[in-house]
Amino acid sequence: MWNTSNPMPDLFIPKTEKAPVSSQTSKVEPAILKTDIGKTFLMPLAAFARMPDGVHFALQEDDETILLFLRRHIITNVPWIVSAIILILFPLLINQVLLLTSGSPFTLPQNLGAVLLLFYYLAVFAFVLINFMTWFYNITIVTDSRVIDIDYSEIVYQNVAQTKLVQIEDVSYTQTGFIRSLFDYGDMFVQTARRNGKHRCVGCSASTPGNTDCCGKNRKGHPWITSYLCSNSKRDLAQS
Amino acid sequence: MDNILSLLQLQAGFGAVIKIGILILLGVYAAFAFVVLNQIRVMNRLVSISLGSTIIVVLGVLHLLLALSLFVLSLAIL
Repeated sequence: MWNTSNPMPDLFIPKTEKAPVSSQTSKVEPAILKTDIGKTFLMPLAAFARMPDGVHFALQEDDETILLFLRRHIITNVPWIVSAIILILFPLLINQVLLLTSGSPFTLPQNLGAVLLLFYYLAVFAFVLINFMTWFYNITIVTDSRVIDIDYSEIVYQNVAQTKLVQIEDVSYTQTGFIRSLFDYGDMFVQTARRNGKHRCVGCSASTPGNTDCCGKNRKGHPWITSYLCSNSKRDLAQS
Repeated sequence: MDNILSLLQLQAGFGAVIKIGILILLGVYAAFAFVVLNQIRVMNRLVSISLGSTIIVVLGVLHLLLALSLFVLSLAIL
């Protein structure tokens, strides 16, 4: 007797949609996507962010998700900030010294002096802007399929390198010195399969307060990053 | 008398040279500020970071405007 209310289940159902080949071979399923960690708003001066919201890069694919956003720790900006403060105070100090002593050994026309002083402070502003840009645009982005390393320096120098996760051979990090230990940052090196292929993230933030990893435990950022990259690259390599 | 006149002419010539030199310097600096702003635009096309990109563009535009303003000011007062 056939039960009409419960028909025999189909043994074979043809798949109507095929998953794209690229996602099978190059995309990984990172553990971070399985967790309930939502997208986080990236603060303008942030040095470390997981799944940042509002970050896009050129040639980003539609289904490509940014998992990590890395930049030098903000404390690495202290040397040029101190230099800028000294440069700002320098004319005032010179003026005070000249007032205390007999005066300037040479005199400039008043208008010329004003223009030169304004030009000096404009140059200091440029110094600050360029150093800030150098920090701001030196970025490492880890997506679910590749690592993108953006280097920017000396105003007109820019270098963009990308490596697929399958091509990552080794990831290491170093954290040496008192300041680095105190502020919890270090250098991360990603060795790729290419000859001399190496990404560097110098002065990367190790962790930010309150960050938790996919297991829900507080961990340092660098071990988390290295273990993530290594495990996913090895898993992806095994799949391919 | 002739000596005094020639001295004044020399001083006036020296002042003009300084003025032209400063104007050239400020003109070159304005071009540099434009290059910096252009680099900011190029980098923002490469990677866009919501609020930070806007802030740095504002700083770049401010830098260029200040450079141009100083050039115009020095044209007027020197």
